[in-house]
Amino acid sequence: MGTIVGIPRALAYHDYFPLWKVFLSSLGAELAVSPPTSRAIVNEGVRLAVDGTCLPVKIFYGHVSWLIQAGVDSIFLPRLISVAPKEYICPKFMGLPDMTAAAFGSQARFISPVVNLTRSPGLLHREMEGVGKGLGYSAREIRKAWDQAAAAQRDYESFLQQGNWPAEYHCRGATEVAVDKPPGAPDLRIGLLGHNYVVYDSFASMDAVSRLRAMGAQVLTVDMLSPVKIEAQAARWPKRMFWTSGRRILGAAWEYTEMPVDGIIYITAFGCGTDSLTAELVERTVRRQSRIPQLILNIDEHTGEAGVVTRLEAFVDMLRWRRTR
Amino acid sequence: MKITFPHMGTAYIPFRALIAGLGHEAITAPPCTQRTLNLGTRHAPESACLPLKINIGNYLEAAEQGAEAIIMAGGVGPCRFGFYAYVQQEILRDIGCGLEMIILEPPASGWRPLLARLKYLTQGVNAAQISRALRLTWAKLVACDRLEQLSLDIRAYELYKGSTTRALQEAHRQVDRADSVAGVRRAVQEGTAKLQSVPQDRQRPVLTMGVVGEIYTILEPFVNFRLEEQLGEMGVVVRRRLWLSDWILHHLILSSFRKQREAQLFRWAKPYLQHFVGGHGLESVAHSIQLAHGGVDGIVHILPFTCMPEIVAQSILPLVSRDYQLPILTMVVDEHTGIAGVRTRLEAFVDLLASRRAEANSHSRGRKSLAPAATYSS
Repeated sequence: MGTIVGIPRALAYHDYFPLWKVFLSSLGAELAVSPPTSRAIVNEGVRLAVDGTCLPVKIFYGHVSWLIQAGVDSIFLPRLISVAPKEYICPKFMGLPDMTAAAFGSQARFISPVVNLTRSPGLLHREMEGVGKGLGYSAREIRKAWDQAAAAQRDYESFLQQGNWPAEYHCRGATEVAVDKPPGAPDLRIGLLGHNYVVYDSFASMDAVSRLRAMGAQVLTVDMLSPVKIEAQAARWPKRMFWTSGRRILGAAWEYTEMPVDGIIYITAFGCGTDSLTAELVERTVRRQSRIPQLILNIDEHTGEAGVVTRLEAFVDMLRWRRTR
Repeated sequence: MKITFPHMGTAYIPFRALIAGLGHEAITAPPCTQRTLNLGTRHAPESACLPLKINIGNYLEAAEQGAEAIIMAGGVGPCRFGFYAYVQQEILRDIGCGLEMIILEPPASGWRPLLARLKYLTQGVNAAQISRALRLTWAKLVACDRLEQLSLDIRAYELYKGSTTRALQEAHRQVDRADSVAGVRRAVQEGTAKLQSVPQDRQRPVLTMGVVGEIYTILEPFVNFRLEEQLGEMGVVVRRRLWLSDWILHHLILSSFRKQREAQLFRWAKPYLQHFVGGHGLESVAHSIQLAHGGVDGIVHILPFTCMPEIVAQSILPLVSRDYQLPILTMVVDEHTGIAGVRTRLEAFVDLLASRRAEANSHSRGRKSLAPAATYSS
């Protein structure tokens, strides 16, 4: 076809990129993924977004702008309403294609299938068929691509569950693993909480993960816990948490309190509406349920590296000191 | 039981009628003040949206007056409001404040918990009493809205500053005092007469301005710095389409039928926003377009800092502003917003609209010749 589809390396990309990539590329589309978030990308996003927007959406705008400047033909930007019954992602995800269109106007063509699994999962397939047909493929080719994509996604999720990181997924099979391994065996275990688009984005998380590993800590993410356990823990809440990510974070927080974890770090991006309440519930729950120390890192576009490093170091020192008592 | 509830404009009038009608003692927290806000910000999460913080302040001030329980609405998302009651419950628990939280979830999350709570609230009253309480509450709700709506048409023309507001407050007091539906009807008639008899100069040139945005910041005068009064006193007729009675009817009672009403909003918002985004984000876009068609001079869009649905609307409204040549002022409020800043911006915005109007009149050839629309943003 010769058409280049751009995928912004932001927001839901961090959860679903194997699904999207395999689906689009096995249909024959040429893909362009924006590079990891850089200062320039953030600055561009900050310029384009309205002031009160959260950091992750600003970062998203920056990636879209990068793709447009790179000259892609269209940008894959699904409207994620719901990925599980009676759950939502976040209001901004629901309006993201409209917000992006308002910011970029006719500079790009957006491919925006609607993903809404609140009521009928069958709709997803129809939407994907629409995307495939829009690119000029037959129903049979689309079904085959979708099956391959779903398998890739399952593979990715089980890879993460085994204690791996997304960055390691890309270097699988390579003889030399390009991911920083901690020096020696880790002596601390830290449970990380937060949206994947914050935790897995080295800018939005100020590289907290590699810094912690370099300090000799083993870092766990929500993706490394068993989904069944997370679900069971989240169900302990009297009210059903209606944000998918929030629900997973709450479940993981309960799970951490019952695991040999030395400390819990919640990384949140400034302006995140769902985290403002989820983090509050997590903080109070963990404090009541356990004696595990907690750190909440709130990061925005002005956050300096030194401040984050100091706080991480102090936290890790405190965890080690606690153990010697 | 001594029951309280959070403030939201004049909502205390119907709410306390309901609580009293169900055989409880209604404890109305003192009106929101800086102290309310300080209490709230001290205990609430820093990055929570403003209404949550003020609610907490209301609860604590009501507890000082002897309240034992709180009635609060729940929600099914995606807006944060759906989790307010639970987070507030946790905060009150950790403070050691013994208030019991009675959460009324909308039927969309299942009838059983709602019915159980309603049963708990209505112990010892019979069906006739419940029905009477509900009818009185609804009558008061609609009465408050209707009187306020009338005041918006009158205030801009008043000869003596503050006379409309005084008449409205008196009318609201009368609605509050009424103890039967017939009494409410009388209060509305008398209040209407009183408002209409406010000395006015109907020949005065006025501007019309729409107000859209998040419902709490529209309704609660403490957080919007008496927006509608200020505008009215600057000679602006305010139009808005979001009313408390609407919200109660659609959010709390008929949320299952919300789809039908949304279909209408969708038609208006469609070129700009193609999906419901929680809260009143869709309404803000749809209402702005409806107001633009209705011929307002400008629109004020008000939202609490970090409000998710309204940020979607805020991102989109510049397009509406451009396409309809309609100035839109965005006002983001939080605990640090000061009245002087708000007043200055409103005055500047009103001046801008007045000069646009004057220019249009001098060309007297309709909207085509207007200066390009400006979108102010904080």
